[in-house]
Amino acid sequence: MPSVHIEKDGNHALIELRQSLTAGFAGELKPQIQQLLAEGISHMAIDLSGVDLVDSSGIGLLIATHNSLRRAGGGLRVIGTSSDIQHLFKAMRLDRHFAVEGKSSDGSRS
Amino acid sequence: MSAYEDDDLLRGFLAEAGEHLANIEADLLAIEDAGADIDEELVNKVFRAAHSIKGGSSFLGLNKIKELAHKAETVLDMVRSRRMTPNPEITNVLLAAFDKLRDMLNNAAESENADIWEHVASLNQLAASYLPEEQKDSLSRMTLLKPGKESSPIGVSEVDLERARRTGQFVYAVEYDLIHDIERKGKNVLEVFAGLYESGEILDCATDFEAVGSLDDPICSKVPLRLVFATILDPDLIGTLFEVDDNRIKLLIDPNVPEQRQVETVPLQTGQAPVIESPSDQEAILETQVETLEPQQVEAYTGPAQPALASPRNGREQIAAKNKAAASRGESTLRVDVELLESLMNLAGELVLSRNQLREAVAQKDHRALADSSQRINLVTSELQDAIMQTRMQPIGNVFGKFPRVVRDIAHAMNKEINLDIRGKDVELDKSLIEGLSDPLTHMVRNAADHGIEPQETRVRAGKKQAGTIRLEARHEAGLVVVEIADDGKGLDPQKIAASALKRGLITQDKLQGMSDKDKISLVFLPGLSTVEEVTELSGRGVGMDVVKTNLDRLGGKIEIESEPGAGTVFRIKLPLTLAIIPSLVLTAQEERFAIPQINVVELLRIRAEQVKKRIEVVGDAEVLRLRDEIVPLVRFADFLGVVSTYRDPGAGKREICRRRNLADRRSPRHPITDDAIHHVAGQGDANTRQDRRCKDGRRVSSDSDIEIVVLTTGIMKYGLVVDSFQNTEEIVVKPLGRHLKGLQEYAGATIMGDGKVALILDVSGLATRADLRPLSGSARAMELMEEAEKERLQDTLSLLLFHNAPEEVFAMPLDSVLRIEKISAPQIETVGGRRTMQYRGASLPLVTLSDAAKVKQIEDGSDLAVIVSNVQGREVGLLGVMPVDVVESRSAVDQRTHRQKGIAGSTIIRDKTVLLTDIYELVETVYPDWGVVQATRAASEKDARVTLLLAEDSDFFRAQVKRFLEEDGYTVLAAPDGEAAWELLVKDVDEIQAVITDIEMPRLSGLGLTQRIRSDPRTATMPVLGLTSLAGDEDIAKGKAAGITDYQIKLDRDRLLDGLRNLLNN
Repeated sequence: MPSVHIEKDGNHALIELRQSLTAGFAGELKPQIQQLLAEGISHMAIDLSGVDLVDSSGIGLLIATHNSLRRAGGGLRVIGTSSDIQHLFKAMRLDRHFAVEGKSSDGSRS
Repeated sequence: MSAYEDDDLLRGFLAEAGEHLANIEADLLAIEDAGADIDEELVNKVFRAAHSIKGGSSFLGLNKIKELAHKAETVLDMVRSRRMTPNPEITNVLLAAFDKLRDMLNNAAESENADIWEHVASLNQLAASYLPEEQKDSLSRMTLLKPGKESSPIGVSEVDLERARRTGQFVYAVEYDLIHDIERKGKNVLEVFAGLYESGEILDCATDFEAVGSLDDPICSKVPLRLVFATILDPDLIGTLFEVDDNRIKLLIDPNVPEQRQVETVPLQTGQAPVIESPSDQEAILETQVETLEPQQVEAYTGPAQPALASPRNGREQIAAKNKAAASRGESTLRVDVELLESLMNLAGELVLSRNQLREAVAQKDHRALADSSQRINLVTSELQDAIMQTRMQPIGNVFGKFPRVVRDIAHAMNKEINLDIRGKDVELDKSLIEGLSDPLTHMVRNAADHGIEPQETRVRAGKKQAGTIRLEARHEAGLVVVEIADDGKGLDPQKIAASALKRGLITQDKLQGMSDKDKISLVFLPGLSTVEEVTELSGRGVGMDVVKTNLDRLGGKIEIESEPGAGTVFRIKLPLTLAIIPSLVLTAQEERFAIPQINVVELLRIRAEQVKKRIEVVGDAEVLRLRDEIVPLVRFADFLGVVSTYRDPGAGKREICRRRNLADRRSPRHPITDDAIHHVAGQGDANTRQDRRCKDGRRVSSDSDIEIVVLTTGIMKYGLVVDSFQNTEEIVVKPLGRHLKGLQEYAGATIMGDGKVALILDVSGLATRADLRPLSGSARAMELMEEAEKERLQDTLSLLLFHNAPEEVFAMPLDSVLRIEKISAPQIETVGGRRTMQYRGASLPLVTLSDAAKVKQIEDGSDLAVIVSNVQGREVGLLGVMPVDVVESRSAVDQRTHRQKGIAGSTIIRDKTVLLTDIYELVETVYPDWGVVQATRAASEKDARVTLLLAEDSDFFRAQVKRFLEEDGYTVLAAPDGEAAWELLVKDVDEIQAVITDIEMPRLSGLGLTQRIRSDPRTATMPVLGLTSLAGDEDIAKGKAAGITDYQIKLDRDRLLDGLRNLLNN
């Protein structure tokens, strides 16, 4: 199973990750996101349902993605976060910048 | 700064703005209460307040004030137009904004430097949340992401900060980087954060998105964050949690500082601070700022270069300094009743008339007229004084006014229901008192709401009303103003407080035993108790109560606590009406006069020169005074003055400067006084150096002069101040110290004496702090002292009669065995049959001399003879000695080996000379062996042969003496140095031992304790116990009997002891 699954829909894309979002994988993922951006996709949702570990570089990538999408007039959503990751992102107040939605809908917040 | 303050326009604006803001809190709360059902007039009123402040400040170029007022106005407009329904959140934001406005207005000149982004952000957010979606997004982003030069600001909700502070947590801002501080250190961000949740709470976190860059940048190399972290870890420990440099952690909130809203005065970003490149530059600039800025600004400057974290103590001092600075700026205008002003005018007129009269009288040299006008001036002056005092009086309602909100906020945050009952708003107090009361009262009200009142469920379960009540009342009582803060909450638990104090080592178990519940509750005022978080949990009270006490002390107030567990607590503060005129004791030290407020004076002591050694001792590194059963630390006032020390030359009777002192030492920049004091005390640890202390150290009072001490109380502790002399008591008018002297915490102010000279007023607690004194009672050192005193008391003193034999030989005899001393001349001695006698009271008194038995010199012919009469074996015997005789109390150990010989029991050192102790029994036995002193008694006790006795006696001398008497008398003696050891022996040999002879005062287990133990143990309950003591009072005897002592004897009469013992054994 590939570690990334991407569905595109107009200028929207859903990116499903199936591997821990750590430094190595982030380096792999970055060009793919850049590619999407180059295709004119400015709204992305990154699904972390299959991810239970992120590291600093991973977070850096999410922020960089957010920044780039903002510049392109779009935005980022992070969905399907495990409760640990959700907790971390909220503690870091990342949810002030982009939407962070948990696996279950009750944890979501726009 | 002055350009503004000189401006009439500005003053007018400030006065007006002050009026607008006066009732704004109550109005806002009323608006909230009304909810959707808006009272338009009320909303309009508040709106107008914001609006007119905006207008005025805009005109005057006060842009920050304008901006904040404008934002508040926007929100209020939305309320007015019903686009926004008032709710607690809105009220909170508005209240905070108006608070900030008030702060800025109070310090208009500095307002441009004020930091308002947080309030602006909250107001914007508030406004945005009621705007359509897109507008809102842009609004909130604009305020929250506004970057500073190096980092973005962080918003923290006030509620979070309040909670942190209430729960005794420190709040830090930490510069953190996910890459450098976590990933590169091989840690994982999830784990790190999980660790943070465990040790505290993340109140806020601003991630610097811009620094991360976009996807176009190379793979990201930094993810900087600014964390606001609340934790109980103190500044010393916080570094270990984050593992980053100290300069990247800043202390925002110190829970030990009961300041209501520190964070507003401690802006997070560098604000106006210059942009700085290298660390060394930063420090340089910081230093220059420290010099030029007011404390407030220094503290506000929490730029990245702040080299070290403020320790809690520093933090407190800084806050205190800041408060002082704020208070001094305070209100610069005062509203005065016109009628009062007119009466002032009248009195001024009177004064002018009286002055004319006085001049006339002086010119005419008319004594009568002089007396008249003097009387008149006297009268007018006191009336004038009263009237002027009145202008300073303000209703206490000014302080009470803010409490509805404080209570509401807390009730809200804690989900409690609390009613606030305010009474006596109109009671008037001096302006300075009102200002000084604000902080302590706030603290206590908060405590009451926060910890005093229980959660609703608890209340209901306890059968109380669901809503708690806090009563705040002011009233007049006996010339004082009494302010009470009462709650019907859970009350204070004296046991828990005591336990915490004990645990913290603030008090000793012994001390606790004698304490009433009320005393125990008062322990919350001990510094140190209150700063511990577990105490907060346990006692429910305590954070900063010592600070409350200190503040009240400064106001000349007293505080007491009444508390009933389960029923509530009452804090009662008693305050003088005014601080401007206070009765004081005037004293001199080093030829300067000083005043001490009477309220702090406990007593005055003069210690006579010959008593000095006895009453004043050096223990550890400090001098202490024995004051009855207390030990009080002493402060030599001269040490504080930093003046050239003088001493009074006992010969010439005039003052001379002691040139031994190095003045440069004394004026050293840091802590000249304390350093100096420590140095000097350490330098003279040995009390024997007292003789030459005057010259060695000029501040020493000459050993042959009396010492004057005033015993002072700070309310928590007592200490003695050594001064030169006392003058009188006087009502003094307190003048504030000039700015350049403000930093001197040992002075509270100055006053002008009748002769026109200035006298400084001492701040009793400040002086104590400066001297680094701590409450002695209860501290570990006090414990040592007490133990030492106790030990000394227990150490039996030996009363000795000193006499001479040959002129250079001094002998001693226990005073107890002396019946009388007779002075005789040589011819009175008759020598018959080789034995000397003298006619004495119609009988012949056998005489002995030491040289009869011991190898000592003979008494020289022509000596001044004395006969020491004592009772041996039922007969009176005279010991010949040589005058002079003397009686001394000795605590010196008795050496029973070196000089032991027949007739000499041993030796001891008295006044640096070896003194031989006479054993009169042996002496008599040598001279009159036929008396059978030893044999007779032995025979008499033949039937008790091998009777085993237990002897408990802590004095080596007495123990050996008594043991010898008893053994000579045929007993077998087991001896123990204290009650505990005696008990062990007794238990071991319970079948052998037939009687116990015990001293009363002994370490570990006293004679009474031993007796009680003997009586309560079935194995020994019937054991005869003979008490042997130097305590001879009826009360002591009664106590002994009560404890179960069979017979009681005063030590040390050998024959009576043996008799008593025989009786005891025979019965």
